Amino acid sequence: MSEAGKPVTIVMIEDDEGHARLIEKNIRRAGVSNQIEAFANGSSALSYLLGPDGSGEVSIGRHMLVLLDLNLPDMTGIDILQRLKANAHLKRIPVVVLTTTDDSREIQRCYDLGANVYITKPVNYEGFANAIRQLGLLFTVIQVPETA
Amino acid sequence: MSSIETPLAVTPGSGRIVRSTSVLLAIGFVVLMAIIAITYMLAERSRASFDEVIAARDTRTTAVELRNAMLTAESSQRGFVYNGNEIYLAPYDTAKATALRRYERLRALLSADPASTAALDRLKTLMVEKFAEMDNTISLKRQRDDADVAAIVNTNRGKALMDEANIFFSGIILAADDRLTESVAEQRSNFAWLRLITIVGGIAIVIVVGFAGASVLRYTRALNDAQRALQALNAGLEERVKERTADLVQANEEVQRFAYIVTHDLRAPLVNIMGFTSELETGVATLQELIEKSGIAADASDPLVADARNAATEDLPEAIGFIRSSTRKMDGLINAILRLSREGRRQLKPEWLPLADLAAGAAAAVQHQVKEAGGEVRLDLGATRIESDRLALEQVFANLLDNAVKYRSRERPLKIDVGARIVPGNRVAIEIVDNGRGIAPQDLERVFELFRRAGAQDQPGEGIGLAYVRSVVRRLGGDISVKSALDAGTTFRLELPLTATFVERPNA
Repeated sequence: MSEAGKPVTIVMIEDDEGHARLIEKNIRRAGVSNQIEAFANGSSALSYLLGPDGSGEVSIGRHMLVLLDLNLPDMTGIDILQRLKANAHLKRIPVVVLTTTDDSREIQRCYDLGANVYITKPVNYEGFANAIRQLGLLFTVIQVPETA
Repeated sequence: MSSIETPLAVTPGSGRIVRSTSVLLAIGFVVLMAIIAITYMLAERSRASFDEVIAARDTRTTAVELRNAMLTAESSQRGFVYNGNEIYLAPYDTAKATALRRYERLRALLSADPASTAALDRLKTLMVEKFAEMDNTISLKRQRDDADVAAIVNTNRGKALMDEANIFFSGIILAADDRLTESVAEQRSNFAWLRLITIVGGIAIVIVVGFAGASVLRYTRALNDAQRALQALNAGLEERVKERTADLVQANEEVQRFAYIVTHDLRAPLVNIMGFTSELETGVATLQELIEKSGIAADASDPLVADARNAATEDLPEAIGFIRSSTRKMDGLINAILRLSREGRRQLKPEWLPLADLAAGAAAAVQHQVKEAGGEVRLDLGATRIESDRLALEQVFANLLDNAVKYRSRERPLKIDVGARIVPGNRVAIEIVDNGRGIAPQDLERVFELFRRAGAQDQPGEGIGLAYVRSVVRRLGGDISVKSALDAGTTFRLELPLTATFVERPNA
């Protein structure tokens, strides 16, 4: 998962540490070895992506893919999605929404706001692990643009 | 609320008004009756005195005519006796006949007055004697017997008779005049009375009608006020009902949203428990493999090794098994709540549905199991159509029939009867009667509770079916109740509105 030799960073925004650990484990099991930046809340993730000045210029030149949970303690994943898609530098970053909510209105809303993939976390673990591994497989073929 | 007090204040007042109005009406009626009676009496008296006037006038006229006839006859007789010329005698016979007729008429007119009988008898005698004397002189004169005529005339008997008769005539005429005067006076007094009565009665009626009118007006005004107050109260009541319904709907919606959020938030830690249990399982499997391969398991002398082997092969897998089954159960419950909450949020679409089709669909779904149990389902729903939500009703029928099949009695072939009939209030009552194992009386209400099940727990299930059915039926504006006898059967009775009256969220 790279373009012109530049490694892609997976930015994982997930408040549940257990989920984060399980996601990471299963992505690794799928053979994906890219760097994973984990954030347990929305504000730290946004400051990483947008920089301290909030302009997003800090991300120029990075290759990134965002894995987003919707239920966060300080803000909703929807807010983060909106901020990313409204930023000139970040709007092309692929965003995978991975959450427990399978409400159809919520799913529609995420796609309307520009999410690329929406995945519901299945409650049974086998299903969950499987989904993450499929996602890992997706990561090996997906083309990620360089942030400009 | 001041609007409540107005109609209450009107009630005793209206009774008083009705009472006073009736009293006034009674007084008016009595006055009117009195006026009619007195007027009738006065009219009668007036008629009587008028008759009296006519009779008195007739009497007077007849008496005058009788006297004139007598005088005519006498002057005719005198003329003839003086000069013997028959010409003078011409009116005599006519006058005599007239006098006799007038006398009979007079007698008839005075027949009601017994006091006059003696006078009339005397008058008759005088007339007979007078006419006898006149006839006698006329016949003597015709025989030229002038001396005898003179002798009779000279007795002055004729003049005496005539003078006496004149006294009677004058008496009769005077009496008739008196009667006339008296009757006219009476007539005048009658009219005066009638005028007085009419005026007094008129005033009385005006007063009574005035009072009655005023009280009717007052009553009507009070009624109007009461009606207005009632309308205001009604409007307020409707407004309040609307508010309460909105509150309830909102509370219900909050509960639904709460259930939805809770289930989602409960799911997240469950994913962890399941996930890391799986990780543990994988780890334990690796440990077991290691124990098998290394052969240290054979060395039973070391208690630490024996414990470790026990832990890896028995204790840990057992613990993991319990964690797994518990999480699976919890997952099932969370999913059940989620389903209920989702169903509660689903918007209902009213459409016209034949009940028979719905029940037949649900019966077809359990047909296989019913046949296996050697039972039958009988449907008797007629052609009743109901305006309701198709999916919700299908689920209700499916749940109830499924329960009837699941909790059938093993001792007798299964029988399910589904019937429907229209009940008052534009509703239909549907009864689903089975001959299954029944529900104990203390469990009857419990069967509708979430996650509660009754009787032997020998069937799979989470205990949400009937809870769901009840919540759906209530949302459809209906209700469900159950009757049951242990070991005899159970009857579920659904009551649904025939036309859709959903308890709906205002923003749905």
